[in-house]
Amino acid sequence: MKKEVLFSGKGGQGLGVMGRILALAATIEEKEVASSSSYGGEVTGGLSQSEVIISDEAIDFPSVLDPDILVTVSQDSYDQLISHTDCRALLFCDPGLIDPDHNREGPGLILIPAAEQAVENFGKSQFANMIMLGAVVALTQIVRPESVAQVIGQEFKAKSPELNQRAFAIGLRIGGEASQCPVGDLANREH
Amino acid sequence: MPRRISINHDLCRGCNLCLEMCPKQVFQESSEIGAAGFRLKQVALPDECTACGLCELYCAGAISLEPLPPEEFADIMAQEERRTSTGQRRGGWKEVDSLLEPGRYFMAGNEAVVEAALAAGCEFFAGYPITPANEILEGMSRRMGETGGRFIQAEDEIASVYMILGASWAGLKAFTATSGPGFALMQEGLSLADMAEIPCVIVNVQRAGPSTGQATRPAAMDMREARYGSHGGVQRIVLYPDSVQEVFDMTIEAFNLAERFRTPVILLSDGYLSHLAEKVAVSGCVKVFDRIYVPGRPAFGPTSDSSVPSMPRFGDGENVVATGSTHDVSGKRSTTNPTVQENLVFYLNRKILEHREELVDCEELFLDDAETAVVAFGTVGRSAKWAVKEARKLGRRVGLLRPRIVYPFPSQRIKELCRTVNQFVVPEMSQGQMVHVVSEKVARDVVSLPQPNGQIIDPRRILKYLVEGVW
Amino acid sequence: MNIQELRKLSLREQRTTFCPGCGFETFINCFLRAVDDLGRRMDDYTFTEGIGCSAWISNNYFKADNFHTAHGRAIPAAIGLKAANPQLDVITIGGDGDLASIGGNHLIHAVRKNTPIAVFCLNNFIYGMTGGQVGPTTPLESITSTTVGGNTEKPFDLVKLVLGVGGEHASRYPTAYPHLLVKGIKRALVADGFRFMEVVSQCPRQYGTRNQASAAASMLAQQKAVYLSREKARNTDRGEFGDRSVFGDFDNLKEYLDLLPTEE
Repeated sequence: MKKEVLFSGKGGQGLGVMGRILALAATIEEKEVASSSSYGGEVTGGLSQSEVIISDEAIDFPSVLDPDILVTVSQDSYDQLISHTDCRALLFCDPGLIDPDHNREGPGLILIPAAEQAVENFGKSQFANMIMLGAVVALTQIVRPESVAQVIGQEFKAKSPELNQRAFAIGLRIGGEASQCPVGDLANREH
Repeated sequence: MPRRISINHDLCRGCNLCLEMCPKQVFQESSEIGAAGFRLKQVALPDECTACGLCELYCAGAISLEPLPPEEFADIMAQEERRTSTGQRRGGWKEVDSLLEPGRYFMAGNEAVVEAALAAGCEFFAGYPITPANEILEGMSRRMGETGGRFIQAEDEIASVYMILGASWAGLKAFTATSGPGFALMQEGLSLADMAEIPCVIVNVQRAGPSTGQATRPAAMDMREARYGSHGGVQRIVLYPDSVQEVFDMTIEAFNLAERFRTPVILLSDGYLSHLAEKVAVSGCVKVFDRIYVPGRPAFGPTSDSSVPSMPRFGDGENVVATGSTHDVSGKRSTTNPTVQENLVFYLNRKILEHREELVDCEELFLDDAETAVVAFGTVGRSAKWAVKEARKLGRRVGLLRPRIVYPFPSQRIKELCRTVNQFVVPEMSQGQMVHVVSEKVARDVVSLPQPNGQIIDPRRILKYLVEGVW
Repeated sequence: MNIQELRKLSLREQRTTFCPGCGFETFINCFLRAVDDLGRRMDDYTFTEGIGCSAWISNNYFKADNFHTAHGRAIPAAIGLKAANPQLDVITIGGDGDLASIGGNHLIHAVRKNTPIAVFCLNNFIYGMTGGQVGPTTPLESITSTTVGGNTEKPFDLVKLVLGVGGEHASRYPTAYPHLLVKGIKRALVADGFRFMEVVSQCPRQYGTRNQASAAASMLAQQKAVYLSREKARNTDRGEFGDRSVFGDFDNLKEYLDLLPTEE
């Protein structure tokens, strides 16, 4: 098994953290993992990407070539990914931040209103990344939810692990509900 | 009372300051002209002298005023000559416990540099902020605070490199980390490190240039600079890992090589490898080498057998003279003698090159029957490995040679490959630098696959070349 | 011990390569006297140098550990040594070009870092070793090999520079007053924190011959005319102060500036 995951958005949306949490969770599960991120010169606002490859075997090339899972949380990154990638991947979008192209063909466009849920539950969009990650984990089973919860506990030790764990749990729930529907229907249901 | 004043005419420089500055005009010019062509000075009025000492403070050592009894002074000098080094013989290989708990870690390339430097026994870091090496600077700041080492944020990269050279003479293992523009500023100091045989490690996290270029983007554009960037251009040891595990292991190796050969060692990384996070296995025990010191031995080469000389630290009582000028084995400057100059330069190269067989460290893949060999360095090796494996699946007889130690370049190994290989392919995150080094070594078709766009090379691009011959 | 004996004890060679009448001989002698007065020995100290005639003082002659670095880089090397081993008593000896031009940035940052080292800047107002080019302290209108029509760039006042960036021990002594120089060196050697001393020194060969003062003694006479003690400076009429300056130990900029006439 080898999965390539690409998180894409703007600087400041916590994409690096999403990648890191996912990568660490896979590390707990004794998988081979490579994770990298790229960013523009600006700390916030520039195009930002975070990549995670999780594999049962040694990873020769550590960057994403043919993503299995795409997560995009800004219009610019969405537009760029749509024009540059083929349609094999599962594409997670935040409909509150992106106006997706419904004509896209492929296995699935999954709309997760993470930012909206974050504001609803926590009063700020800061927790959207963990909600989105929860949904990704629920829908793809790329790692076990317990592994992620454990990593969040470690990584946010000094900050607020509980809130982040709650956000992740909300994401898991949203993802779990979404998985009840066929993927195509899911996309249609949201609009 | 007449004072005991005398003049050593051999030391008199004829400046006349004794005549002019003495308030009592004790000195006069004699009619006699000395060997140096000026009138000798003489003590004309010793009775007038008040022993104010002005004359001897101005004089270049020729005037002796009220000397000690000869026996007393002889005793002092004899005592001085009997003084010897207070240091003990030390250095060599040793095994130390890892600072990190043994186990598997998930860390980025820059973090691995920090942890490995500490594991290797580094106790001094000086650096200046520059992307994409900042995590090393920040990491060292934090970790030195935790481990009792010394950290300095210098005013620039020039100061950084001289600070680590100073620290190295104080006996500490020291390093700095930088990127292209800062690496250029360090070349002057690195040349001094070559000449004065000062162990130190420089991590260059390469980014896309020239100049400021694309500061956050990876490149391998300082490959030749790492070897030839300094004036003088003597042999350098240059390492370039391709994974975070190798960054960790080779950072330790860089310190060990620096200490063994008393030379600056350049560890290359890049804007991708620095932020790539992977698993790193840390063992409980680290093998480290400390520079060897034997009290009383000359501190500098050339040595007759090109071995590395003893390195005292300042404060050992050896009265070391470390200089970037051409010098003899004691450190005394010799700035015009052609033999001393030539022997020193040959020695500085030889002390490393005589170990070149041991310094060959390559990853090799499918080279037994390869007709085409991809030669790749550092991060590009990851792209190349993927491409070579895929090409093999398609039945192509291709292989991979990835020198982890870039310099000394593994010339012998690459020549041996010519038995089966008729084409060498050199993909690079640059306009093509190492391709020229490969071309120099082999009488075969050598193809450059340059990509100076600030991105890691998509392995499918290399594959396409290997299968279709298109770049 | 007299100076000749101290030189035998502490110098690697008795005959230096400095030109006849060079002020660096005076600095060497005063330094030896100061160390001896303090009851210490030369190799109780560790030296770093850059490039230039001044660098040769400790590199060629002082029997002690010394690190002869590249031009201008003696201060960062000294900071590295001191930070790595605080037990070392680290001293930097350099010239005006070495420490205030190519190494100028290191100098001001060393003040900011307040690393406890002593820096002796032998200011002879010119690049002596390379043939007499204009330097950062060359007085206005002086003739040098690169200002044949006279220097038009305003020179640095090194004491003002160091005090201006927060230095708390800056001193200036001319070689014309060797006994005061000895006392100044002693204070600089024992003080805490970063210490800077400008040793105003004569270069008869490169500076003097181009500027109507080829004899060392006449250059020393000029020094005495230009550099006033604190007391003399206070008692000199502001209007008559002219191009004169002041010597002594200073720990703050305000006191130093108060001794000098205000620039219009």
